[in-house]
Amino acid sequence: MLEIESLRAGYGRLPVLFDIDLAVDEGEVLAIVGPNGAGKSTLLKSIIGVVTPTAGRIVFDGSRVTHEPPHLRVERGMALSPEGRRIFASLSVRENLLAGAARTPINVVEQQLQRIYTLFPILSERTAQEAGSLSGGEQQMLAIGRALISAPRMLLIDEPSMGLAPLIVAELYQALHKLAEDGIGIVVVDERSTEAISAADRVCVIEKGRIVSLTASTGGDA
Amino acid sequence: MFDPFIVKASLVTGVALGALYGILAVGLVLSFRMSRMVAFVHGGIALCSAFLYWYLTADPARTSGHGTNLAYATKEWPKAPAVILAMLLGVGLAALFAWVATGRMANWPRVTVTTFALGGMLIFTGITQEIWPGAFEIVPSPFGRGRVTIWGANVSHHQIAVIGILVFLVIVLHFVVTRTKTGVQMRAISDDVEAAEIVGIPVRKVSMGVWCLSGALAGLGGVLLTPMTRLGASVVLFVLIRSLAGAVLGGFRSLPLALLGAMLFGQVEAHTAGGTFGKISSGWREVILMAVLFLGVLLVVRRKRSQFRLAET
Amino acid sequence: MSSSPTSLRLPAGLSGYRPTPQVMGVVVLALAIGIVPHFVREYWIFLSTAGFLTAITVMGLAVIIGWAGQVTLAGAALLGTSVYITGYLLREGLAGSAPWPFIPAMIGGVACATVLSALVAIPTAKFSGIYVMVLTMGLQVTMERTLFTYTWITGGAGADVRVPRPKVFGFHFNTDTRYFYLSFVVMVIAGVLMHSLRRSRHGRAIHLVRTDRQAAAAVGISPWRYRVIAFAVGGFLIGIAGAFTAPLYESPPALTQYILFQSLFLLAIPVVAGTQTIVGLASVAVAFQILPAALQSHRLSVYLLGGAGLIGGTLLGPRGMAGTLLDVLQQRRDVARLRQVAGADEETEAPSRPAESRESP
Repeated sequence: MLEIESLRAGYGRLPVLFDIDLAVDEGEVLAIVGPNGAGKSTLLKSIIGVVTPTAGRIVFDGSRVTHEPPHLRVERGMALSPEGRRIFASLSVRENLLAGAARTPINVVEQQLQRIYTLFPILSERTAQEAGSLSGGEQQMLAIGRALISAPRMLLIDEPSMGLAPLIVAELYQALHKLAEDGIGIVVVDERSTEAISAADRVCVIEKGRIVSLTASTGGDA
Repeated sequence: MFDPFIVKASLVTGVALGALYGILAVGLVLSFRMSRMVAFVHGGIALCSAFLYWYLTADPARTSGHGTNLAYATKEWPKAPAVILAMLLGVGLAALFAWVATGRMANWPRVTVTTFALGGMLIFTGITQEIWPGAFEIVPSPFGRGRVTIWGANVSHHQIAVIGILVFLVIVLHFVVTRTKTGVQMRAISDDVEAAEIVGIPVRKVSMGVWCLSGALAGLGGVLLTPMTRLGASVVLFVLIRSLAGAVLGGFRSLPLALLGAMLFGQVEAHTAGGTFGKISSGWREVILMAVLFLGVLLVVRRKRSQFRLAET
Repeated sequence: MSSSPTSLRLPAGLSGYRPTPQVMGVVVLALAIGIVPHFVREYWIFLSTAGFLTAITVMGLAVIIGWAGQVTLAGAALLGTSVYITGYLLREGLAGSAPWPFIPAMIGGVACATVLSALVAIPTAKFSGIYVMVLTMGLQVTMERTLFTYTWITGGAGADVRVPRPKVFGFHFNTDTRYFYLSFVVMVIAGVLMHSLRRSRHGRAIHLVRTDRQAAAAVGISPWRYRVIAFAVGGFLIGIAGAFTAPLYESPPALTQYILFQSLFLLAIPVVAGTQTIVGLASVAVAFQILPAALQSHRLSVYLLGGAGLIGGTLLGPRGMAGTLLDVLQQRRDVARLRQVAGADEETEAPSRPAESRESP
């Protein structure tokens, strides 16, 4: 569903990614691991479109999206839960969820809201609360929920377990697992590689902006 | 020593002045929230719109240089289409500016983008000075010259209209910002631009729209302020500074606080000029206003400090 | 141009000072200064004199922008303060005393500008940049409405009020050509002063405060103190410019030269030139002074020139025109050197310089 061909990207004159080739299928969970500064987040950002690639192409559902602005890619069915959550602190939980629903039909939004609330029941108890006052785990759930509102078929998640207690991380991965079972393709980048790898179908290792290995996960899930 | 008549009159004038500052302050806050810049450019936009409005409506016999070959050949259009055209000009100029400024400046420091806005103001001011060099004109009010007595104070229709427009504006904006999809998107962008892009908000389109709105407000502000004073580059800038001062009290982010600030400055100005505290020279009035502004900034910065506990640059 | 001593380069981390083009610039400028006054009309000499003084003013602004990372919108107010105070002392002296000689009068004007600039800096030093802009704008308007309206100080618009040209150590700078050379020398001295200050311990501290407040605080440099110093030095330079402007016209200059719009016009110069090279600053200043007069037939208003300067300068980036030019030259030299070394990796710091992160204009 998502194909990346010889992608290069960087910031200003500083190149970060070199010739990335990658493909992700529906319902597949791909874990991207690697040391700090390897270019994992940059890869996700160029897939969603906030970083413009300098070369190569990104194909989603058969159409080239390499130079499309992010909001069109979201409309096509991609979504990113960014590193550090980046929730809108002054907006309420409900407004955070709806912020990403600009061009999604109302019935889909209603449906997705239900889905998000069943996935993360705690959010449904906090709809009117200011998002900045949520706990770290709740903020992460909100960030994933916010990405889900447009009913994506490809979900990119950057560092979901950052700064969270193991119990909450387990809960998050369980949710991701459910999403994958529903047929959503998931790309997850995580420093805590063990959780990511055990949840993944395939594991991609990135070092210094290049893919150094791409293998089926040995961990498997339960 | 407080003459109740003077106090009342000053109170009412102050509300009208505050409303005028408020209209521009709203535009400043909106632009700041979209682009993190103190939109000095609104001063230039207001001036351009005011000049256009004056050119379309003023009686040539009342322009400066009348009777000489330096007279300005102003039209004598009806007021309503002139106001609309002036606001449209404001929209156009703001859109032009935002088209250059937004996007590429997303990661520039606030001081740099603000300097850019200063440049925009100078250019727009320069254009009016090229066409009508040194003009310092009397501008007819779109609401005529009628006056009424309210609560013992003699108030012009123009002042009442300014207050009415601000009230209307506040109600509409409050509804848009808190209740609509666009309002949520606006607030999301002002919280975190990149995250807004990531979740699929068409950031450029929304901020362009907000810039157009604030441009219309700047244009309207220009049209409304000149009948209360005179039309000239320094006059418009002078009013802009008051609006800025109001917006500062809201930290450039909060609309209600900015309006409160604008009202406060309207009151201070009206009372010091109107004679509530005896005769105060215009120089001292300026010093007093500066002192209020300074205290305001001090308060805002304190409040921010305690919120974030970190120094911003 | 490769013959210049590269050993003059500053330690890494400091401003990217590279002498070669500057030395070239100085040589060209000195030649021009020596020859030109003998060939052009007096009006141009006069304009260039004003240009040199503007150059000193914008050096002051550059200190505040480049060192403190702040933008002041009170440049014209500080300049005007010094102009009028110096002029007043030169005309009448204090409290009915006889007119003062030039040097004490100058000190009076400069002191006022320095103190005023520092006074704004002290309470605003902990504010973020946009608030400093708004407050300095307030200062500008306040000065316009107070000091500048007191005609007994400013001298008013009357053409009969005379401000004598200075007589220093018995030498009378009474012709425009003499004043031209005097202003040039003062400008060079100001430039050298600014340059040596930048390379001093204090200069480095200021630079660190600007680039990384936390790091500066960590090594025990008080950001607050150095910001105030930068504002004071800036005010001092502007004050010098004002003191020498006071007798330039031989009568009090018009108020319109010191209003807010003029502040913005002045600000455009360091924004265009960048704050890194002093020669660049000076040349842009002289150009900005001469251009509107030279293009008078095309009615180029100072507003448009200033606006274009501010917009163009911010788009060019923090290093401005001079900095960008230097980057290009440096890059070409780097390429040449790399070719010579043929792949040997001696140093890789140089090519990355143009990609510097954006900071205040």
